[in-house]
Amino acid sequence: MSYSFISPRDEKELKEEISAPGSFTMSGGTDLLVKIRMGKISPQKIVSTSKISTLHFIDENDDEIVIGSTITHAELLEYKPLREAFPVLFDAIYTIGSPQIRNRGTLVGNVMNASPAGDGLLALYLLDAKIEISNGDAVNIDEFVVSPGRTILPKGEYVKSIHIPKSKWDHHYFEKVGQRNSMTISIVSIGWLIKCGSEAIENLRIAFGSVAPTILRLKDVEKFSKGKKIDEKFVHVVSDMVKERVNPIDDVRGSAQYRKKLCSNLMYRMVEEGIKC
Amino acid sequence: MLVRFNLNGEEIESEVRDDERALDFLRRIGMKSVKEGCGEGECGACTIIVNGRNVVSCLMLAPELDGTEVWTTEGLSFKNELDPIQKAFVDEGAIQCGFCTPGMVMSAKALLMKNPQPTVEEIKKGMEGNLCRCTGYFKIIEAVKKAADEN
Repeated sequence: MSYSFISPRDEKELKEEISAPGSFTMSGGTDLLVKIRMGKISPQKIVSTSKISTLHFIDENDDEIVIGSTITHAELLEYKPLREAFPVLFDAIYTIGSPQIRNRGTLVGNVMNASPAGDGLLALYLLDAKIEISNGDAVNIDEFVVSPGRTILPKGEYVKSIHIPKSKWDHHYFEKVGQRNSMTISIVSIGWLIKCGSEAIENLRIAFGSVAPTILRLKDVEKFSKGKKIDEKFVHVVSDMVKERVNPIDDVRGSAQYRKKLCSNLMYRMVEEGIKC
Repeated sequence: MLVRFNLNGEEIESEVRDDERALDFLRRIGMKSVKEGCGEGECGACTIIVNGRNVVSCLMLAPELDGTEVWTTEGLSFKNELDPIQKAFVDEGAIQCGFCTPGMVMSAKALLMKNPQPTVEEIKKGMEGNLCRCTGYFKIIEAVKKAADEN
């Protein structure tokens, strides 16, 4: 374990540094430094983004919020408009790690880590976020993340920001099932957004974490739910659909069978939460 | 690499290795309150305050300290007088083996700097990144509450 460390002052210098072979880009380091310690990666050079002022911003307009790549989880939670505009993102980030982790970790880091259990990532899938890359491309989050730890980010490029379009929802929900509340990696996580029409669902988005190689949006369940009324009968049907569609594996945190059962059982939260539509 | 930063109120200039953790560096220059527990950000024993925020020094590189303001437990007491948080930990019996204590104290300090009058729930949330294997959580929460009351 021996590597050099550099902290570029601007994006031009960043781009030069990260194009070298064996270099790894680091923002908060809360995942990267653990991976190095575990021997999963052996960088020759670590390039920190933390001192680049042009990547440290939160912008908002009528249509979207744009989150710069060095914005930490704690800074997002302290950004007052977030909770009202994107409550599901707020709730997801609130559960990440601990204050110490949220003070260093960034939302872009959560995306780049591309964990199927990523809490912030699940909210970004629900909100149809787009990732802005340094080459000018903007890529939908579900196309950006490929598999555990892998994204389509080309070598020598970096993520500039995350764009989240504003959308109005009547209900939101996020829950992760783990062994404890803090510092836990989810066995299964779930989130949804619901917009009610007159006595029926007008629009529903639903996503699961830790049940597939990436966060999983169940678009056919979303389509099926349109125009349906939320009652026990509906949840019963949807719960069966969910069980068939999630594709978890056995690992140290839980068995595939247990995870499937959890996913379908978590759907009953819609009734428990007393959502009327 | 040469780093310049403020440690416990004093300007410091020191050579660090690029791949040295802030934890190892701080211990090397005598800050022995900074403990290594898990070494992967789970336990909080190596918690320090950097630019007003509590972070785990095992997941931070020493070169990243450059230009920052850092506090460790060594810097809390002033002229042999304990910080109110340290005093509350002693008074409430919130210390058993003591290994987690400096990290606990630094997280409590960061919490009270941001939120001088936290509720019990806010204390639990603020301290969720610090583990105590002697399971003294009840007394630790009491100590933070007491320190807040005396603020």
